[in-house]
Amino acid sequence: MKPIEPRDDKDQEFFIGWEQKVPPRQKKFLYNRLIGIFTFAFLVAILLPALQVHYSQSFHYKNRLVNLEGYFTKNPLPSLLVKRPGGIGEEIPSYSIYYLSYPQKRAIPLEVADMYDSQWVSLRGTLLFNQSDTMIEVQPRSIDVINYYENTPPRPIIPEKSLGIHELKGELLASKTYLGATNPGYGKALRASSVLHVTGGIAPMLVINLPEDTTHEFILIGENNIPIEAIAPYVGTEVKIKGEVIVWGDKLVLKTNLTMINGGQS
Amino acid sequence: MSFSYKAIDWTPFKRAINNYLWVGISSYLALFTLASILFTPTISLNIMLIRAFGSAAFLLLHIILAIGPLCRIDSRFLPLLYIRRHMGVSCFILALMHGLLVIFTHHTGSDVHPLVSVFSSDSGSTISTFPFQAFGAIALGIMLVMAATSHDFWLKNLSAPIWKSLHMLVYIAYICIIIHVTMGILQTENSIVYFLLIFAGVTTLCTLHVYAAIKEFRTDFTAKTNSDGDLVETFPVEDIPEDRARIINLHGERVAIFKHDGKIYAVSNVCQHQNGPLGEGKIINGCITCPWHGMQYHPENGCAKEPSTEKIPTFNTVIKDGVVWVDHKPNLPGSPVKPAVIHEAH
Amino acid sequence: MIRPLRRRHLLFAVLMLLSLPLLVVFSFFKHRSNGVVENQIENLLNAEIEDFPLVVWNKPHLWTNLPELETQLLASVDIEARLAIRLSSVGSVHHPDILIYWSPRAYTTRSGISENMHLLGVYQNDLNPILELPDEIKDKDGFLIMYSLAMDEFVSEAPLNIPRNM
Repeated sequence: MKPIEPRDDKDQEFFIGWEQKVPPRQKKFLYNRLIGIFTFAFLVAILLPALQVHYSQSFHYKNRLVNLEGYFTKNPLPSLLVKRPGGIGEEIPSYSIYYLSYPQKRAIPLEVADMYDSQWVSLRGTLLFNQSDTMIEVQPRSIDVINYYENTPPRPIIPEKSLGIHELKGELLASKTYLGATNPGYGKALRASSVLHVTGGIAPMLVINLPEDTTHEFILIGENNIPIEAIAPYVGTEVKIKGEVIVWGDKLVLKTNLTMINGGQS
Repeated sequence: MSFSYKAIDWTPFKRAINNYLWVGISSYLALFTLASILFTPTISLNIMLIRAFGSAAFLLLHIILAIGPLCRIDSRFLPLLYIRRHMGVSCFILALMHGLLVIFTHHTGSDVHPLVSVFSSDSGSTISTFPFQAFGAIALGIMLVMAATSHDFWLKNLSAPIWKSLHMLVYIAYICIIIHVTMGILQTENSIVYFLLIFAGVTTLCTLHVYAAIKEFRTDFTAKTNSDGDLVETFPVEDIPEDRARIINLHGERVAIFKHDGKIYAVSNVCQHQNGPLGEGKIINGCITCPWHGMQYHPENGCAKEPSTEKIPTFNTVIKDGVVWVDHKPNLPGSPVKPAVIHEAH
Repeated sequence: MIRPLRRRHLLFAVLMLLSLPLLVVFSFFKHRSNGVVENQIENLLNAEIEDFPLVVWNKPHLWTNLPELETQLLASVDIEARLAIRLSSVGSVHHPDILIYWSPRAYTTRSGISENMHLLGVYQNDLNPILELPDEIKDKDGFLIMYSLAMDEFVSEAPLNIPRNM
């Protein structure tokens, strides 16, 4: 039987921690490996960002406060309707629709929405947006009713057109995360954040990725224009939803209920 | 191994490696940030930092866990054992930054308590709803305990077996982190390179561990069988290098046979500090020195050099016709033993 | 004494080697793609694209500060000879709610968006990617103005020249 050979023969260098110097050959060996590890690490540091999914562009200009005036409506979801300037033909909606939210992961509280519904208001906030939609993160207590006295403008008319009942397949997200609360604002890693937004009252959004890098984004509302309760478990997942597709101004809205999601399965 | 506890026993080597470690970490974070800005300019700052710290901690953990088996395979890696704790604490710091940023970005600002949210917001039984963040939190908790008990003070006061068992939880943390990464970010990213990198890392690390484990396990079955009563024949005196040892397997345990100053000593191969292989060590200043952490023992009685109090079993030896014979029955730890004198035998 | 530890280590290492790489492979095969699907209601939303099959011209570098933005002037084939503008998607426009106007003259901050500027539509709106020129301006040269309503900010402009033989 062979004896168990020691790894080192008698001429091998030997180092212990409290010695001041590492033997030269061992030192050279280690530093060569260190160079290899550094090279690999720096390659990874460049590769990982380079190969990330290139997300759709969304922004949140947190450091820029804007003051806007418009018509506050709580249906189908809290929004500000802002008059578009210039000459506007009949086919083009004359108001821009900006969804409203409160800071962090909260929606406009119901009592605030009730208080300002159907009134002309001014408010202050920061903007979240992508190429299709804009949301204002309203500073609390910054909403003021505009008193036009006898010159109150007429109530805005936003054209609404139903495109019928359709079954759509896409990813269910929180509108605020998707529109720029974080970028990227979707994916598995962001699911917890999206769920918290939706449970805080932020409207969910169905995002359908189409060929050629286009998307359709549907704001999801319940029947009778009230939020769909218990939708949070579906957020951040791929879903099939059956509902009424409505074009509201130049926004897409999907009216549905919980039983119409994934065929009613939880 | 000293009773006057210092925060860190610095040596020029440790300082140099520590400096390289933090230069490496800082450079990694800087490069990652620059590359993120270049390739995904609209990425949120928080998300970018979460990924930078997370990936840095993940990569560093693989390097740390590779040190153990690499040292078993090639002794030239042994000096890295002295810096492994530094690396471990550094890894924890990176992971902590990652965790804090995640909590701040994703779990604050709602009515749910952030720590409750980590375990509850993203929970379900499908891949889309798998609670990957909970596994990350568990791993971070284990690393916190390990970082907090990393100093020799805890090794001494918890005792080596308990301390070692606590720090072996790093493998549970590693498994949790693999689940965290595969069920989290890998479900978000599409590039196959992400999967390949992680697959390569996991496979390499596990293969190193298995290889080192098999190597050690196999030698447990390489045993001497020629015996005369309690004495077992080992090998010729001239086959034992001066101030070094040969290791044999005696009835299931390894014994280190040292040659020093014309005498032969036999002691247990297992260092009482952290089970290092004494037989791969060297006699320095008349003491058997463990190759792992430098623990020293007097060969004539198996007692650790003062002020340490550890003791190892000794074995009686005899030289017959130039061959060393060892009594397979160990003496109690710390028992004085008369060495076999080479000059007399010859 | 140490053999049980080594045995445990070997067992654990083998279990890790067998399970962890499998977990990575499993996560790869379970990975969901980004879910690109065919347009499920296309024929109801983008009806106008087919109305303007003729490309009169296609010009890059027309817009100030947006050199990569391409502009197409499209025409219908019916007797009314309608014209429309189509803009390519560009990554560098970082403004919310960009409205596209036709203006008889270049934009000035002093005059802002006036009543003689015609709103053609919203930039990069997937519902209406074609911006039809109203009859009253379709044979007039002018300027296309990009204006961000939410930020009340001018973004860019481009000269619009209509060929005379249209």
